[in-house]
Amino acid sequence: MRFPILLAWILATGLTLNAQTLRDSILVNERKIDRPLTLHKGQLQFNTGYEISVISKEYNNTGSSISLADKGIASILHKYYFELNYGLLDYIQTLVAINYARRGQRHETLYLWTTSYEAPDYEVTCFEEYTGFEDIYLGGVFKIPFETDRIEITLSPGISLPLFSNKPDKPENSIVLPTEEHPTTDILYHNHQRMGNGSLAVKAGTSFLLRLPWNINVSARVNYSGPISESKSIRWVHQLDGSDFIYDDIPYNYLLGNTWDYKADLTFPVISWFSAIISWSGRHTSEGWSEKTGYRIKNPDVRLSVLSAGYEIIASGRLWINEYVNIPISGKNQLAPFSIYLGVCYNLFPFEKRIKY
Amino acid sequence: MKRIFACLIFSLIAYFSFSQEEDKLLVSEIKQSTVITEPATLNRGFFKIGSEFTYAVEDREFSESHKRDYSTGNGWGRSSSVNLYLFYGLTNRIELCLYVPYKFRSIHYSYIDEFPIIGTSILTKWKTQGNGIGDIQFTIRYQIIEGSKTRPSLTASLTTSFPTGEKNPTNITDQFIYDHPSGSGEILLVPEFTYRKVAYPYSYSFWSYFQYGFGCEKKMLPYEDPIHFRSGSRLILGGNFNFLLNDWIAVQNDLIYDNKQADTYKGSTMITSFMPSNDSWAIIYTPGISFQFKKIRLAQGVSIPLTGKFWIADPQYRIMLQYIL
Repeated sequence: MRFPILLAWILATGLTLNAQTLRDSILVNERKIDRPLTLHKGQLQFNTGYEISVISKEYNNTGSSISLADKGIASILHKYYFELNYGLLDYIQTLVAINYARRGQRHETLYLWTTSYEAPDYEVTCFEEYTGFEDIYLGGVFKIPFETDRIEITLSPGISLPLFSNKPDKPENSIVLPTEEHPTTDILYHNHQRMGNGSLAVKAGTSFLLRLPWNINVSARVNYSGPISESKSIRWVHQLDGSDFIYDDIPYNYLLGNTWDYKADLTFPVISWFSAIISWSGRHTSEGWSEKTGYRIKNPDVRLSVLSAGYEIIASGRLWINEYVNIPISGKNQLAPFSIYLGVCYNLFPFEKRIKY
Repeated sequence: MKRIFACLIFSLIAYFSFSQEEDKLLVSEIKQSTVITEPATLNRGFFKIGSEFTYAVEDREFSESHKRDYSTGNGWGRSSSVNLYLFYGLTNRIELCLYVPYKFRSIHYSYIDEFPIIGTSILTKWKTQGNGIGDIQFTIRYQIIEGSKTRPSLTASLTTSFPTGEKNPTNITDQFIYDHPSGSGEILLVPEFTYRKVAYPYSYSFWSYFQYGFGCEKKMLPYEDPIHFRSGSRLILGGNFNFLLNDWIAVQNDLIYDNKQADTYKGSTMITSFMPSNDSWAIIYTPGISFQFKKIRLAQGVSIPLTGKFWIADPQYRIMLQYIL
């Protein structure tokens, strides 16, 4: 009985929140280029999206592109985005964001021929699995109240909380002993990695928006993020007892690097409800170290630049749909995924007075 | 009496002149119909041209136990296609369609053989590409029951796929590096029935699709003689539910059950000891969204395999652009 009551309550709350308010008309008449950098007072915005990244190349330490497909370690990253924004005032916005990701990276299978040439004696497979939630981000956006609509500037401080574990789960290695039908010993090394950073990190950024004549918007943002403290994690080692793997975890410390990321957008409304967007974004991470190997080793500097093209469609005053294609242009010590992002954005004014018919 | 009779006549005339009548749509309005309101087949003399782009990766697959597993070893692939098509309304109930696909495909797979006794290791890379025109299809579609605002439509279609794409491996460097064929090499026949009902602003339909391959002689692997190949028969049962968000945006939901029998090579389902063909099936959900801007339609969707057996388990992106002349 409790479940139907709860369901009815959720449905009733949803319908009530979804009812139209007088302020909905603000969103109906706003094109993408008209939107301010912060939400309107009382506006609640839910963003969700899915991104598929094809990781078939990487940039090495000289910035050269290396084909991971040729190396036999190409992989796919599936990422799901969730973000909730709320406009406290017309110039102040709060947000909370969390992402979930999943990626499986396989390696070349190794066949060991030690006794005969009819069938391999050993087949060794390695598989790295990356799954889990990234750190949750809590932040704010403060807009400087200029008199003009042509220019907007915001400041956006925030913090990343390591709410989810960054420690890898115990590996699931296995051995299948040979039989008469299958005279090969199959060995699988299956490691689990997590997506969390494991440390509190601060973020500070600024955004700039310029509304040009001819219905074109140019916006840019720069963010800095860095860790507050060292992180702790573990690595797993194993030894073989017959055909059973015995695991032991070894703790180690590491320090995340300092990251600068930037993005510049050019937005052009093709028609009132369809806007085309071209973006240039990048990320640069330096400093940081890890003691994973037993020695403290500095992390290599990491760079990546990405060119994006996409669009946003205003399906209704409340519902916006956006899609981007992201193409890596240059980088250093970094994977270079080609990705497609598909997102949905839903807006409402939940605490405004409802319109009664 | 005459006055009463005249009053009655005038009342009846007034009544009928205010009663509802069926909308008479202008030609330009018909051409701007959305995916919900468009007729089951094109109206007489109308042309529809379009292009569809698909993109998918082959990273995971459903195993025999319906589990989403990664492909064997480090096997990994990408497949995409650009399909051009042209529809023509021969009459209000008969539609002709020409479909020209261009395919892009790449598959990577590698492994290492190590011989410690003689201190040798051999890296084997299987790297194939398959770019080129695929098999051109021609379809004739007929509305057995012509749909209207109140009446559902029942449409039958017959598609013939001609083996215009390359059927054999080409540009062979060695047995592991070559260009994958972009065509199947055989003639396929596909009868299809579709039941569709429009209940503005909603529409729903159900369809069944059966594909039969006539077989052909082709090379399955480089350096090998052509053998007789026949693709397994395929049955698709599906339905969709679409609704309009406003006058120009429609949300589409497709759900299909796709069942394919194993391909056969000389009557056997094994091409080699390591390349079997299996009976396979999947249930695939495709949410999508369609935008109608005057005579232009932009639609996109993601096909998500929900469950299956011996079937690719990764999503496929689709984006489509259409224009009605």
